[in-house]
Amino acid sequence: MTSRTLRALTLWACLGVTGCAPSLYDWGEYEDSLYIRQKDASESGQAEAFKILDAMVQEADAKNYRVPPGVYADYGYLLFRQGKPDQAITYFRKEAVLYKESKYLMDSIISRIEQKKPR
Amino acid sequence: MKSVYLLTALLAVLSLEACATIPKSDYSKFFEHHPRSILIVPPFNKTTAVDAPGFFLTTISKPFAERGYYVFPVFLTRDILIDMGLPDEGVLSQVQPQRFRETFGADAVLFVTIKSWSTTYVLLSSSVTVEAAYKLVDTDSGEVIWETSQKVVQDSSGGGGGGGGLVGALVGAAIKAALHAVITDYRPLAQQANSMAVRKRRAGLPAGPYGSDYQKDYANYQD
Repeated sequence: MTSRTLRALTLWACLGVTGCAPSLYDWGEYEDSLYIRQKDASESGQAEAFKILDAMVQEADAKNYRVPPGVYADYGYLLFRQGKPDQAITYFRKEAVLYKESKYLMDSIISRIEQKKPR
Repeated sequence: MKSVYLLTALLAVLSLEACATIPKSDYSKFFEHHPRSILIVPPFNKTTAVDAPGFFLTTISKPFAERGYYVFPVFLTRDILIDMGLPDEGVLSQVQPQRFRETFGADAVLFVTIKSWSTTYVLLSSSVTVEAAYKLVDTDSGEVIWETSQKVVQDSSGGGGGGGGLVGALVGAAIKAALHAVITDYRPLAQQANSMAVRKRRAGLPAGPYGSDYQKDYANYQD
């Protein structure tokens, strides 16, 4: 089932329930990826969690839709931990552009990474 | 289609009336500061379940983001706090709220206390409880701008919770309890509690800047 159909169904189901609003974002399996990260600290667990986030980000980039708050930053963080500072910075920047509330933190993280990078 | 609208309207009226007796919380401080961003720090755990805070963290971002707020990624936040030498939840509530603004640029910080994260067994049935208290603090003034608590209880008879019924009767409640302790997934309850805390009428969180009813829903929270 596509996420669009799922969202339409959710909206339809919500019509009968008060206090239930249509989703602002498509969360995909983001919460599951967080769960796996928390539950399985092993390398394979972390890789599995990254794979979910990676698929989510690639799809959003390809289809040009808005990822939920924190997703680009979280993705950047995982890239950084994998030893990919340049790619990490790209996604920290994307987070700052998409959500201006994050700019302060993203700028501070980016400048720290750049200070540490060999020149 | 018309009848669907009618039904929805009717339901809306009914639930409004049902809620009319619940006293409204004081939202004056909230609207004075109305945050755009929320920093969710690792919860304070009042239960004996050591894994509760970590698993709880995986369920808390979505409901607050869906309410229209910018929510900082929880694990990145946790790791930065550890870097700052503030790993323990007990210590976090002692931290000057302004420090969260200086470090993260967050408008508000959310402190959660997990009050219950447990399964109780009565012969062939079990009951899972998740309860949490939520406190949102403005990082400029240090004032508490929103506070609520939420409890979700899920009862399941022998048939519901996997391997129940006859098997449950045979293996006995004690063994079953041991089995359940390993496999109980509290996440759906935590998700439900978080969502209810944020969305409930009169006591929930008014919409944030990315919400469709941002600054239009004040009447729901004010007398």
